[in-house]
Amino acid sequence: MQEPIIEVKNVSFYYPPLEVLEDVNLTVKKGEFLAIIGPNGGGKTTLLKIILGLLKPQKGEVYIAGKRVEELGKWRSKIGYVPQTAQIDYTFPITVEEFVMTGRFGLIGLGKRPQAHDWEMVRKALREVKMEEWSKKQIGELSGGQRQKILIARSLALEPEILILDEPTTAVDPESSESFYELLLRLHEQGITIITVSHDVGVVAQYVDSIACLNRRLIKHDRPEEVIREGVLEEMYGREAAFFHHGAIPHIVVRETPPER
Amino acid sequence: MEILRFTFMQRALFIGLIVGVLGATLGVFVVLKRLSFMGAGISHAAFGGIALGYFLGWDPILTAVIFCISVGIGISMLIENNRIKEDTAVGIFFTSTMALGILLIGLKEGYNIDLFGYLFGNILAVGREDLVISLAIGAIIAFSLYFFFKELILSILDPEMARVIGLPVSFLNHLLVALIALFIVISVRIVGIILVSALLTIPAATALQWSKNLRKVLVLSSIDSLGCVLGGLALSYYLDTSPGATIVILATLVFFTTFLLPLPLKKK
Ligand SMILES: Nc1ncnc2c1ncn2[C@@H]1O[C@H](COP(=O)(O)OP(=O)(O)OP(=O)(O)O)[C@@H](O)[C@H]1O
Ligand SMILES: [Mg+2]
Repeated sequence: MQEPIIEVKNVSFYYPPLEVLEDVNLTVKKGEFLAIIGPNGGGKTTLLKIILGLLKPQKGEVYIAGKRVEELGKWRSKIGYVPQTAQIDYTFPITVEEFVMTGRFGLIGLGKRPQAHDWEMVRKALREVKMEEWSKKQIGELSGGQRQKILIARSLALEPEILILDEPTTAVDPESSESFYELLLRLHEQGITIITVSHDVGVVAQYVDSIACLNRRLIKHDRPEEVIREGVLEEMYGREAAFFHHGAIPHIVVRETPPER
Repeated sequence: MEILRFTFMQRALFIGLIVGVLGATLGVFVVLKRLSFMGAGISHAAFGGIALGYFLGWDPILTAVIFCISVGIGISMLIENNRIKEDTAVGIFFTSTMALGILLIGLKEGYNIDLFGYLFGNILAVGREDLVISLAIGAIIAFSLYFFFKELILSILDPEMARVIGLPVSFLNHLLVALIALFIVISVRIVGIILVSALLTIPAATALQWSKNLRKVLVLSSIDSLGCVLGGLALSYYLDTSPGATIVILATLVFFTTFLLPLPLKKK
């Protein structure tokens, strides 16, 4: 659990003239469960896309498992990704199970077709998100939350070594969200490296090993409690952020006026 | 079956068989990726390619193959980073390649090209070598679609995810366009440059109304397309009409009949 699996080194990214990321450094160890938090437009999605090699930073490098991300090759098929907004044509004539299978296409290889084992993994992934009875439905027949669940299932179906999740639970109901985090915890115990973006600091803080706060610059906290306690959030979200504690779980509420403290 | 007595008809039906099945299959990818207009654009570029072949004294069909593939990949590269919108790029190439064709034909003195035959198809002109070319190109298209089936599907459905898991997405985009170009070249003899993109659009669009299951869509599209191509060829013989136009009108009739059918009859 010691060696680094993802290394982001001196990454700066611009949508000229906007500087989205400024000299970001981040090391994620193998098996680590990391949450990235930060305000809207803070650069979270951009950072994830840079880690995945979908965007190329103007400065800096990303290494995954010791290789530059541009040269990952076959290793790519071990990365599961749930995008914040997937650009999917939901009228496409494909069923839920076939859709989830597309996650394994990198593993299966060129010119080959899915085998029994591949279907087994797809069914397992659909069971994990409790969508198995929808497997024969066309993807367009699903609700928003169900669509998000099959995106999650697709990322699980490839038996990932790294899971990269961009606000994976925004559309799912609280019960499903909770069981999803329980699932992530089980995967974490199996040694899978997980990065998740979330706005619900209070919820993720209970599960993760570390939290990175990102608002153009990134600061990583190896103890989640630090983030909640020591005024880190106010600094990042601005003075308007107030924190309410429901039992042990703090929640963020953004207000117009500064709260009395 | 008296029409089978004629060698030209036998040849036309043979090519029709290849073109019918491949157009239907390739067409499903074309329609799903919204490349219908691209298909029309590349087919019109074939006119430029054929004229170029004549002008240079090369084989017009083979010149058109290379020309269309280059134009197709050219468009596909232009639009890659979204700097130019696809319909704009197609609109530019569509017209400029036809203009080039007209220019070249005008420059070549005493030309005697069967222009009409290329534009609207001419099944009497189907020669032995056309059979061989169709078979060879048909095999390339069929093999590519089979080999890259799942990769093409994912690159159309979700290109971002295709890149995440390491599929060669821009190669796949170029491949699809190259296959369209190849298909157009083998169908020109039967339906002609002007109408050929109909084979890539109408049967697939009809089949997509019938089913939401990809495999069924592929089968239905092939049945529809084969029926229209072979049926259209036979009809044109008896009615003494243009084969290409007859095929396209027939396919269109099936499309609108399907479209007007009440929903519960479809989507099983
Ligand atoms: N394609 C684009 N062109 C120009 N600017 C962009 C583009 N995509 C994002 N940006 C800008 O980059 C910044 C970071 O965006 P990003 O999507 O990474 O934010 P985020 O932290 O994921 O926000 P959210 O919490 O809303 O998802 C924003 O200011 C946004 O306006
Ligand atoms: Mg985002």
